[in-house]
Amino acid sequence: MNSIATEQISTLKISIYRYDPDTGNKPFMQEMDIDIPSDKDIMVLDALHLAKEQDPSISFRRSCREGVCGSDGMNINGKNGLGCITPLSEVVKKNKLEIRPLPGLPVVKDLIVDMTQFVDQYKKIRPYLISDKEDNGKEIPQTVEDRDKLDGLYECILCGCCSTACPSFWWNPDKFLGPAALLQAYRFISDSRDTAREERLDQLEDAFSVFRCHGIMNCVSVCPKGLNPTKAINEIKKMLVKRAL
Amino acid sequence: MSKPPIFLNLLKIQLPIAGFSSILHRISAVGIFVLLLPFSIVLVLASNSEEGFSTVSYLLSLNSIKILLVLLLTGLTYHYISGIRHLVMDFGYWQTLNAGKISAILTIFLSGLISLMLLVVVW
Repeated sequence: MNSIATEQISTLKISIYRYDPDTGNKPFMQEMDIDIPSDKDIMVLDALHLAKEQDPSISFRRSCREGVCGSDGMNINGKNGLGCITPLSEVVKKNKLEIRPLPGLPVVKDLIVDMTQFVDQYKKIRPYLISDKEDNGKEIPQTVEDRDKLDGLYECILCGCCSTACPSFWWNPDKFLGPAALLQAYRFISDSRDTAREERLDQLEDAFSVFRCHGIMNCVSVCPKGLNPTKAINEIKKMLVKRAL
Repeated sequence: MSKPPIFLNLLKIQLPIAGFSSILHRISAVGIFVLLLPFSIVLVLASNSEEGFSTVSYLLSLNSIKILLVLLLTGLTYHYISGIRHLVMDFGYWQTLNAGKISAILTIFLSGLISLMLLVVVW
């Protein structure tokens, strides 16, 4: 039985992608009814916990439950998002909630995907400050204007919602860096303290790394932090074109 | 150990209008690629001799050929307008989600309108 501390209860049909590597069976959608409070809006992650009370074998990642750790990225009624900050009122249609793993990545178990491809692409952009200035043990000063350039970039929590919503990443996960990695690439390219700007651009100058983005904006549409990877990618493209001219 | 499954059922994944517009851009490119060569041959045939012109006039009076011609013109129209939209975005405009949606809707609407006009002209 579900246990929720409320008087007003309604029933939600929830359908969850299930896959158990130990059985070797094909993935299937498990349907169940869960009782949810009708007098308040709960999050998708809460609904998953209620489902897990009925079937403890349901597996999913979660940690902070407030949109900071980025571990509970999943496909909710067809759209990627973080379970912990997605209210049911935003996604439930006809009293039905379908939850699947992030698209395009190998499924480890149920809603847990193997993020290796995603992380490998992130590693490629060298997501750390590179400076050829002598390290005197002090911080590197930056003007307020230069610091402002990092807004809208540094906030990425690497949940993977954007890259796994991107068709270019689905078809070329090893060659196209994907929106998340490219947003971070631009974050370091635009950092006034970083001195490896040209090297970073050299690394991106091929047919796949950046130019596989066709600006369809799926990444912007799903980003739980409201960031705009398409814009960052276009800025990188413009820099590459300017360099070439 | 068997290969892990990958969830990638396109029918179960929401595609925003900008994505739909992008797919139409690709489809129109394939359509143009397939149809442009035969219609180029028809054009050459029509301009080479009077007999060729008569043959092409007859061909273009057939409904099946008219449909193919409208498809080609529709594809060209859509691809052209969508291409301009992408160019504008490449120059750094219409990069917000809302602008992307509106420009995609306008692209589809405008192409549809022009295609309808072409349909009337061809028939």
